[in-house]
Amino acid sequence: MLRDNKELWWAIIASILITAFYALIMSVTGKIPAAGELFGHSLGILGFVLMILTETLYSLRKRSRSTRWGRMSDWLQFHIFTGLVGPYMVFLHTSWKFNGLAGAVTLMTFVVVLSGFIGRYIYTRIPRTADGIEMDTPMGDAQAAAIANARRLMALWHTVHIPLGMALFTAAFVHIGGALYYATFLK
Amino acid sequence: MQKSRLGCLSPSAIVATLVSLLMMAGFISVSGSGFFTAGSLNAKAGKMIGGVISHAEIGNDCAKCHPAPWDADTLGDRCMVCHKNISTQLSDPTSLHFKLTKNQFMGCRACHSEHRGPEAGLTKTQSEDFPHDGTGYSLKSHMRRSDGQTFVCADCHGADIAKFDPAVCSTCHQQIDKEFLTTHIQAYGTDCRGCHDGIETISKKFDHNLSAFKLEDKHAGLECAKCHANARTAVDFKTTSNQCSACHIKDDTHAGKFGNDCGACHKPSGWKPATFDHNLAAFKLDGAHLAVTCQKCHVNNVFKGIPPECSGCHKDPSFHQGLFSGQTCSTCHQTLSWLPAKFNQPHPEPRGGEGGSGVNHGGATCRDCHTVNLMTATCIKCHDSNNPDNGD
Repeated sequence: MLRDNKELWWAIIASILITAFYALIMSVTGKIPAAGELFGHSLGILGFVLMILTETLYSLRKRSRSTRWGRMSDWLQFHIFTGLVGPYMVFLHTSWKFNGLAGAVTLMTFVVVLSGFIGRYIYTRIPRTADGIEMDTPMGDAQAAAIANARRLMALWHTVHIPLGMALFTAAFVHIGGALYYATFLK
Repeated sequence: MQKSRLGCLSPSAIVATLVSLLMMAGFISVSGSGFFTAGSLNAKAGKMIGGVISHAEIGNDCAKCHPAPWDADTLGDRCMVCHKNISTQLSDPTSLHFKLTKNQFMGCRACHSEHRGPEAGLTKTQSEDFPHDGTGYSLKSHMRRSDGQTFVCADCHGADIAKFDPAVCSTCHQQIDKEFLTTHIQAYGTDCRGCHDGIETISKKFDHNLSAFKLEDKHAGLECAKCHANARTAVDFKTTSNQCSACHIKDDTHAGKFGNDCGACHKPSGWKPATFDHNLAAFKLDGAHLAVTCQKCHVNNVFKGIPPECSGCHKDPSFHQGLFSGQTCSTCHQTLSWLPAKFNQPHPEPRGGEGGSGVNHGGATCRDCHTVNLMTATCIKCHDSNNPDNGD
């Protein structure tokens, strides 16, 4: 279950470690790691890989009817962990420049993460089994109305969060293509 | 709730993807591919080159500078299309651009960067970014000043990065170790760049034992200037003679009579003990010669030109009475001792002799008969008279 916030603590610890390493690189080189140099580029690539894992793994597990791949709540925790740490690494990859498409991708990443936060709290309002399946539990009218409201919000959230994510990944892939064309393969 | 279709394949996700692609295509078609840049181009106005007074005026025409990966030309080639003066400098040996690129392939981007904002400089002035090794002097040991700050070009070059005053070296290094620098300059002069290349190949970290001349024993503690006294350039150091005599000619107590190869007898641990293997010379020492002092043959320290013949040292004794004049001693004698001598030549018929066949006279030695010299003989050492044929 998500009520212990374990995945958030892990994400905070990972982000602190990444920040410490970033600060160390900064103190050694005396400058902000550029997006196109070894460290900055590595942040972007690893961060984007984590974002891809965020996008795909939980979605695939949700559609698997077998429980042998692990509990859905654990996958959601992993989804949230990578969904926070990946974007944070991508944020550091920007080298604090937010021009053009790269800046737009950063903004969209921020929006999708924020949307994910909102979704996570709607998710916890709906009673579920340990495997994340929604449950029908005996309850009073007021409680039933609140849960029904939460379910409606969850459905609405899905219709916003997933297209936002797709727009983000589409823009990110175009950004990667542009970076390869104009920088990586530049002779 | 179980779903069979992935969210990314839902109608809303597909619409979002298509809308995103359309929006990006719209941006590119309206504003050009500058949409991909993460930083603005330099906008500082200069003289008109290639129809513009700043890179910013190139705007979003990215292909002006950026060739496609499959194009034959490079970004550097496109720089040269406008910056024709730099293209000329690349073949001018006096220009900085020539010096930087003569030993290594370097694109313009090694020193010049763009997309860092309208006010940002186009040349990397941070010393760690600048490929200074190309000038023949590495900044490996000059990343941080003694006060901990990062070096900037002006620290050494002043206002003109193409110029360098060697006095800058001593000005700074006097603050670090004035006493050392003073004696060092006295020994080697003020042209620091003549020897130092910035990576300490000719300083504390230099391992002389990797060179052809190993520094052993007493040589190990010497100051560089003891041997490289007149060295003023790296080439001078490398061409210092390996011959002992180049430094030790003044120490030669043999007055040059043993030649220049001190190492034939002496070792770097000290002049003494010295060893000399006479058998390396043409005249080998054996027998009684081994016990003879050098002076016996090499009178007055004359070591060269001593004739190897016996007569060079040994006079013909009066005992011979000149009978063997023109022959070498070794015809009859050995180096172990003069006696016994071996006489294998025809001997005049002895008195009452045995057919004049030589010296086989009952095992008698020369001195048995010739007690005084070879011109006289006596028989009485063995016989009763000097006329043994008479039965005496």
